[in-house]
Amino acid sequence: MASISSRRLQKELKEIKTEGCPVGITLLEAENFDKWLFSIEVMGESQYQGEAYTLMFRFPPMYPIESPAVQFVVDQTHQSPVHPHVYSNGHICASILGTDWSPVLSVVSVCVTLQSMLASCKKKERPPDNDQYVSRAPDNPKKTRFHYDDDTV
Amino acid sequence: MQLGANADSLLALDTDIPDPTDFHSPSLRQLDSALRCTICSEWFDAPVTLACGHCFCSLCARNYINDKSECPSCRKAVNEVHLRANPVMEEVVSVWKLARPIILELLKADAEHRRSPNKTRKRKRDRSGTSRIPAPQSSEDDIESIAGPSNSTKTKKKTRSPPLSSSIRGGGNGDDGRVDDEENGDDEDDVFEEDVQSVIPTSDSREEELENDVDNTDNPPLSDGLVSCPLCSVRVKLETINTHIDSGCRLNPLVPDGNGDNKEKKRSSLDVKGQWSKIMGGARSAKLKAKATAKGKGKYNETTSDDQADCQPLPKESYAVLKDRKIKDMLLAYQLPTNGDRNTCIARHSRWVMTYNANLDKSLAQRKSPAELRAELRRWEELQKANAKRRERERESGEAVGEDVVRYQKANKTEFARLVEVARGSSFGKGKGESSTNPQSKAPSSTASVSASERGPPRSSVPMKADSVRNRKGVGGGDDDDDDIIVVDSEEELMIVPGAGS
Repeated sequence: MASISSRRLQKELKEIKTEGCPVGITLLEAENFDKWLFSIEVMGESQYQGEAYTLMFRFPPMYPIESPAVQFVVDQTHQSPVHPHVYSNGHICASILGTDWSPVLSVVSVCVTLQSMLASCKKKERPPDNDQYVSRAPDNPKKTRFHYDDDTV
Repeated sequence: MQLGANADSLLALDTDIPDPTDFHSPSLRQLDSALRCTICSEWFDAPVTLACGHCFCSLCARNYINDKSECPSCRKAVNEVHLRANPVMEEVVSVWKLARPIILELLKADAEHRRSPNKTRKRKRDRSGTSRIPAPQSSEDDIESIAGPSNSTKTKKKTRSPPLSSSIRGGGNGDDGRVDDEENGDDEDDVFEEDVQSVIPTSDSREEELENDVDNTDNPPLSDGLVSCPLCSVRVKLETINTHIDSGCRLNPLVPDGNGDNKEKKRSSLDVKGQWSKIMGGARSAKLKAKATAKGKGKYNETTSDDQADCQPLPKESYAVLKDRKIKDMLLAYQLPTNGDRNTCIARHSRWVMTYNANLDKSLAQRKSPAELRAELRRWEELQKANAKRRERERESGEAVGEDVVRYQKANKTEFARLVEVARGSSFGKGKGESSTNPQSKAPSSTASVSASERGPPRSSVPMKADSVRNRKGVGGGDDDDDDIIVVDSEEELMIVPGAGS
């Protein structure tokens, strides 16, 4: 029996493949229903002009009721964007990835939201508690209980 | 890990899942996705409407509301008792499921026709010659009623078809133009006059073939104006199919080869009797029902259909106050297995209540029998077990990380204790200065108050902000993964972007 999550992901994937992603977002890898990779680039005037980042989605079995684990890929070749809400280990603090997740959101809508989060950034800086958090952050960002207090983005 | 298997299933699924992208025309694609639940992306199954008006599959909505009492679309507060079945949407979906393959087939035929006009035109004319004569009237009626939004008079329809086909030919770049084409078909009468004659009859014959394919019956073609009920396969007059379905397939089980007028009378008398016996709750209704279902797929016997007509939604239990024995009794009452530990039984029963109640949101004719629900429950449990195993494996593979966190917490225990002390001192509003001079005072016990005091002048205060902060406090409290949780401040709240357009 195909589970709800794989059927839903299947449909999202098909839509991405037939209709394409919004400008600046490209599907890099979707070999299975566990992990997808996207490339994300901010278009137009912004702090991140000409920079492309890789976003990793990991889907829990209860997706879309449960939120996917989303983070920027950080390794030898990839960096996470310098942004007040993105930690240097790639973890992202955004309410829609945590408590404000809703099953009507989709992979593409999360990409677009994160793209606009980068686009609206005024000043490139790390979160104030970056070092503190990164040194003891769990592997999966979903295990972190972020506290969201900037409503301006 | 399971990459190979998953990739296979990916490919296998690719072919057989109907999807809005089956349509090239944007308006049809929108229509198809508008009839789908935004949670599971399937067509609405037992659609329910929340207090805010948003519509979801009953099971999807119940599943989500179990976790979080808000509308997935607009976040308005909602409770499971606010769910109301939406039979109109259910009907629209069931009709769309029937119409969809026909429309797809028509579009395909038109596209072929456009690609090689001379060849196909000739071929189609030949075919139309045979099929057009027996049943032009009824099949045109069919197209009109099924095509839905573009419903129109017969003459109007003739002008509509060619633009539709021209939209296919348009290829990928004329999206807006295509919508217009479909809506303002009349403008193009002259240009397509010739095509009309070849396209229309083709549609007729095509549709008859399709209709037979779909129903998988060997009934005579649609020349008598009868269609097979999608639920019970009884032949019903097209105009009365909706009443027939609405009545749970009880009304109007017509004999296909009768005379039209007679049938009409017979049907209305049955109608009246059926309605009366429904009101009186008499045995007559049960008899009618049994008759209708016996003609159908034989899904229910007399007793189950009666049971289902009267059944009430099951209440949610507060399992914490129930003894094991009582929980097992509740399971036995619905002939469910009682093996497994207490948690398994509770999960089984609550899932049963959920699927049972979701099933009640379907119209009578669409409901599944208790046996089917039990089979579904068994499949669900197997899936849960597989997922649990998968999680277990992941935990083992990622153990190193988990240990690190634990070790870190142990090593820094004194530091944490100090932070907790500092935070306690700063709570209940007196600590603005303290928390700003000492940014480390964000221990779990005091996040709420710290954050409240931190929301100082630099951030523009939006009216709804206070509310949203308060809500989040409530949600954050109930987390049971405390071991792994690290609290981090100074982050953001993002607006939801429901659509994809940037």
